[in-house]
Amino acid sequence: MSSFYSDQKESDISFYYRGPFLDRFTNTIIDISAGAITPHQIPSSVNRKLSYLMVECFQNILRHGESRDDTTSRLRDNGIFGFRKMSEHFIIHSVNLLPAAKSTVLCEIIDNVNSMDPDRLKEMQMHQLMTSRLDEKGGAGLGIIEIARKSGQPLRYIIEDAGGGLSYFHQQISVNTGNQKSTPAEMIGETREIYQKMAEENIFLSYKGDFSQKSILPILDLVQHNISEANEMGKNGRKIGHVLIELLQNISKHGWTRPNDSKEGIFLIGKKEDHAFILVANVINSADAPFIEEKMDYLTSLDDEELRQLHKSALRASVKFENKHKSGLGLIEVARIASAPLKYIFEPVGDHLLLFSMYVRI
Amino acid sequence: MHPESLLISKTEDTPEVIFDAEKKLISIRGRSLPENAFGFYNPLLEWMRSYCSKNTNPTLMEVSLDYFNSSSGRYIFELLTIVENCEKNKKCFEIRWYTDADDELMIEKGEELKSLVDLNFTILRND
Repeated sequence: MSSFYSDQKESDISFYYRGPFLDRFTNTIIDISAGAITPHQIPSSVNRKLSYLMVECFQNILRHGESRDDTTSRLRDNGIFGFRKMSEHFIIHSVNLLPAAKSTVLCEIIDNVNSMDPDRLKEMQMHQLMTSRLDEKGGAGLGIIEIARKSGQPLRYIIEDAGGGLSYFHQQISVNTGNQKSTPAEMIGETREIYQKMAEENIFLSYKGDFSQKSILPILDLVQHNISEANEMGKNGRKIGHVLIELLQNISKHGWTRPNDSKEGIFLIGKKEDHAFILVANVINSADAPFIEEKMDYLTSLDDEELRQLHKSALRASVKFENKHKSGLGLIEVARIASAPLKYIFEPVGDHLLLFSMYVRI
Repeated sequence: MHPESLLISKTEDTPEVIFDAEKKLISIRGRSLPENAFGFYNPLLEWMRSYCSKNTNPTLMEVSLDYFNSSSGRYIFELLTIVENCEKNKKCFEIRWYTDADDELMIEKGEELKSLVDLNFTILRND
């Protein structure tokens, strides 16, 4: 269905956002990470560190990123921001467009910072605080020292030529969330691949992790702002929002519960020529598959008018029978909004467990 | 405020609710996508049943939702069904369904609910 999506298998949590960066997304991103992290019982000190690093990284993109109006470009946006957790490694990724000259300066600063031990870094920070003048961009060097100190790991980067005197600056910040002092695997090459895949498949948001209401709400806000305004989806934006709510809440209600009590799933949103698509997947008990299959096959066999009638009768029945949980009203609404029949697939993922994926075209 | 009124402030996933027995005004405003729609709507349903059992006066019900999920939709339908099933109140109630003029989804949902109940139901599009 999407190779991008199968690549996310080894992450416990993953979030990638590609598209315009707006100031008001900063808080939303913090809320998303807080929601995603909750079931993983990360110590609050590490948690605060992660929030700090994410804000710093995101705002660096806001402050220093360039945008260009080149619609023929393979990449029509300012870059990506994302984070992943793999066992005890938490990684914050960003890619943004910078003037080539600025990238070179940035690399020199990072190389210099990476070469220092913690004491020297602290000293350097104090020195910078005392001597540097505050220019309007807020002093990039100081930000990097602060990031390096909080991360406790070398900062990784790649510069990629973007033509026209610009370059893509890929950055990776790592944090250990456990007690181990080990250095995380070299992931920076992978960031580049993720970036390329998101661009190729025109994916602008992907998320893997907890699907409780707390986690879902900030994601919905991001989607609604991003899609309706930034990506010029117009009226389609509302439809995408609606489908997303139904699908995500469906997982949060009926999905398989992990031993740590969280409901997990994956979704991604992208665009293809004239339409948008949503891919959503979650783990289910194999025993539930025949029921889901029957329901899906029935829904996909109906035309618009039949779906309208089914919706009507489901609404009436839900009141009559007080059937609170399995009316399937949400899925009927999704099928009605979709511009093509829903597609689905089951894949084995473990003992008596299946990954149920659904593709919705809007 | 009248003791028989029901007031609920809006939250990030539930709407503001003003069910005012004295003013004969029932208003639901905001967005509705609670995880537990029954938990949120059950007090509203109970209030409506009790109100309908006593009321004989003209009552205005205003629904102005930017968005509601499918499980909220069924309870909004149930609220309307309670009114519809009450002979005394069926003719007293005026339902006003407010939406943005370009919000096709909410207009369509309003039209569907209107077609499902036999009530004085108007859809008003804000420009």
